[in-house]
Amino acid sequence: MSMVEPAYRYRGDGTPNVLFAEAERQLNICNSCRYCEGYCAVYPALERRTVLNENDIIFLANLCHDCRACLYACMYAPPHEFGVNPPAILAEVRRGTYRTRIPSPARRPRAARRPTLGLTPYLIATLSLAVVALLVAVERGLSSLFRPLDPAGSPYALISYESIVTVSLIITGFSMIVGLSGVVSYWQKARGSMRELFHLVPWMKALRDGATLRYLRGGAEGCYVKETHASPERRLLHYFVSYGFLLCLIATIAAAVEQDILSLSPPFGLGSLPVISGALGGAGLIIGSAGLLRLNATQQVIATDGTMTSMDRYFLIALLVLGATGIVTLVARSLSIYGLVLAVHLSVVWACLILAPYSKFVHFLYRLLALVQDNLERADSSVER
Amino acid sequence: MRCVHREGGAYNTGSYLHEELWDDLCRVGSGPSDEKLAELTVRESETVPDWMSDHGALWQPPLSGTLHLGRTNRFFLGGGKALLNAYYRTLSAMGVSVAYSSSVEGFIEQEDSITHLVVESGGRRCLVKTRAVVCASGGFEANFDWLARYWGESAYNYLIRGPVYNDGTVLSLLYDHGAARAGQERGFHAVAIDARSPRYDGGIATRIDAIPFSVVLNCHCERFYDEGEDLWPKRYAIWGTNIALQDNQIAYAIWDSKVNREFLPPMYGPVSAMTLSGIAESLGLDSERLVQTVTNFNAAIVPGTTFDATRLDGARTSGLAPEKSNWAQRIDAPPYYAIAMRPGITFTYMGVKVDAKARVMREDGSQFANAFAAGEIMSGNVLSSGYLAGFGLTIGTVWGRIAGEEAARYVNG
Repeated sequence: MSMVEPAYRYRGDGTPNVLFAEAERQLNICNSCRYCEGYCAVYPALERRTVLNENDIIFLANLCHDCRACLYACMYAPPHEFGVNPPAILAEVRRGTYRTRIPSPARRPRAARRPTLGLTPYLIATLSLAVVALLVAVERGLSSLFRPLDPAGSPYALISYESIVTVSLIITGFSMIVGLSGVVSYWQKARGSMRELFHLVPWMKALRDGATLRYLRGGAEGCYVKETHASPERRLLHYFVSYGFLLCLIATIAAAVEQDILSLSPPFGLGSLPVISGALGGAGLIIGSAGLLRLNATQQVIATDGTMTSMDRYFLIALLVLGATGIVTLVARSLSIYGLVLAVHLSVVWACLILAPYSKFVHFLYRLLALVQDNLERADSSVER
Repeated sequence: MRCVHREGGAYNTGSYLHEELWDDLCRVGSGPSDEKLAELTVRESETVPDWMSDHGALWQPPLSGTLHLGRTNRFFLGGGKALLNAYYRTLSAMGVSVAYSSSVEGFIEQEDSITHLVVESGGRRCLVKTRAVVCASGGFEANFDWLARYWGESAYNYLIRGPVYNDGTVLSLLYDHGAARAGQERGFHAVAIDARSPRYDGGIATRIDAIPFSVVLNCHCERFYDEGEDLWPKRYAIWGTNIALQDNQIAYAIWDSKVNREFLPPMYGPVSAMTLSGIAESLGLDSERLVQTVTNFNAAIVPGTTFDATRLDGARTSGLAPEKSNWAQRIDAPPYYAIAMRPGITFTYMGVKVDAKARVMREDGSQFANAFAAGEIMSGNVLSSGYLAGFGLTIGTVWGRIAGEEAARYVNG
């Protein structure tokens, strides 16, 4: 059962032509075999097609949730000379979706070949820290970073409410525009009709399958980390990360509501909704992202695309830092280092917000779109029958 | 796999009773070889799926695919390799050790028993002491020299769908030690596969489904068998032998753009050309003769019928030998497509004779006391020709269980 180093192995040269030709070759073999159709939505969707174009392959790649059950079930997997490895080739296609579907300098072919965002994340993080420091210096003086704030735990004792809201809104607006334009461009290529994107029924099913992470169940046993080991671990850790993130979002919204509608100023009490959901959310992010980092470090290299793995790592580290600085900020409220801790957390939040649409963060958007598309196709084909 | 079940459920669309499976078995090839053992196989098949589930097998809901077997057959989730992975995981959890990448190269026999195996592993030979042996080592389809004894030189043009390891070493050792034969020496299962497939281990993906929608020519550009004889699943398994019996063991399916979307495209893609002589050139066939055969075929189509891929549509030819009795349409809409096909051997039937306890029998009517056989190596006791989809897996599992239980009983006295 051991999987030795393959005799045959696809080596892409970073150009879409070679990548899509290889994906098409492998998927044609899958379509001739069809033993994997019980695992997930990818294989039934493949069976609806006899010819594959680039958009079909992009759709199938985003529909794939990377459980890897098919790879370990496959008689054609390396070292077989056919070298079929859907999880790896589809991950490479998805990487292209995340990179080229958004308006960014990475659209240029050479940049698309670049494994990650390079130094950009560090530059953005530094810039973000500089903006925070500048605001603190101008508004309250840099010394407030190193003494207890008054009132204790209030962010506005460090930077004014107006500055925080203004910068946050600008960054959020930017990220949403970038993210949404990626979504629109994906959908236009995938289905053409924007009207279909607003059909309710396919969305309901897609949201349910997305919220329950249905396709991370793999072949009923969960995702494969190694050939001999399938477990629900990856799905559970995804719950921690995604619902942790959602709780953090709820904390932010709750804080805004308490402040602007109920006229309660921070710091909020330990029993308040913003603090409780923020604390739980932060803990979820830490547990989930740390667990996924550990899982990714033990996975079999052959089962995925190396560049996607480093995208995953960047994203998970960012989430880990986000969660950890958030928790420290909560705990350090009344300490003299609170100002510094808060400044770091705020710069991390802003940097992450800017980088989100260029990172693995967007994967859930494209997976949701693919699920919606899959539901539309299923409805189409049942009408044809 | 094909098992008896009293009612439908999550994995079958309806019931499939003992009598019906027995009738299906009787209609295959020359029918059951040994009625007693065949009946035992059918009877035991009913309890096999639960036993498999208990040992890690996972199933999937009935396939939407082309073979329409949802009522009679059950499908493993992920196919055969996934099943074996599950079995190996179960074995490992039970503390059973497995020697991978090892082969049995000889026996030492004393009185009625095999006392030692000669095992080759990692380039070294060693003797392994045995108390009981279950031979589940398959047929001899990957041994071209052995196939050639019954098929002549043409055997070297066959392709083997399974792994290179099915070379019949253990089967031949058993014969050397006096085991009796079961099954016909030329009995095998073969389908039409892409001529470009690898010599071994091309598996299921290389099969060609174009035949009912094509004309099929041999290397002399002659048609040789009714391409539209019956629904494809029923005739799927005859085409391996059909092609094996042609000169050079090769045949060519030719179709046009009208039907190109009706079946799964071959995994390597077909040859295409705007003219029939272009097709002939790509295939290396005599252009004049190929065009003549297709022209004659087109001229022989009985007018007034409508093509319908989903049923026996009666769209046929008249005045040809052989006729095409369904799905016959003019081949006249370029681009034209074609593919070269060879026989792909799935398994062989000739094996060793066993008794109802799966013990290997000798030519003289006696048995080996501690040698048992299961699967393809003894499938000739149940069927000796023809094919019933999924029944090979039934034979393998039913007899694997019998052989394992009997071997354990023998060892534990």
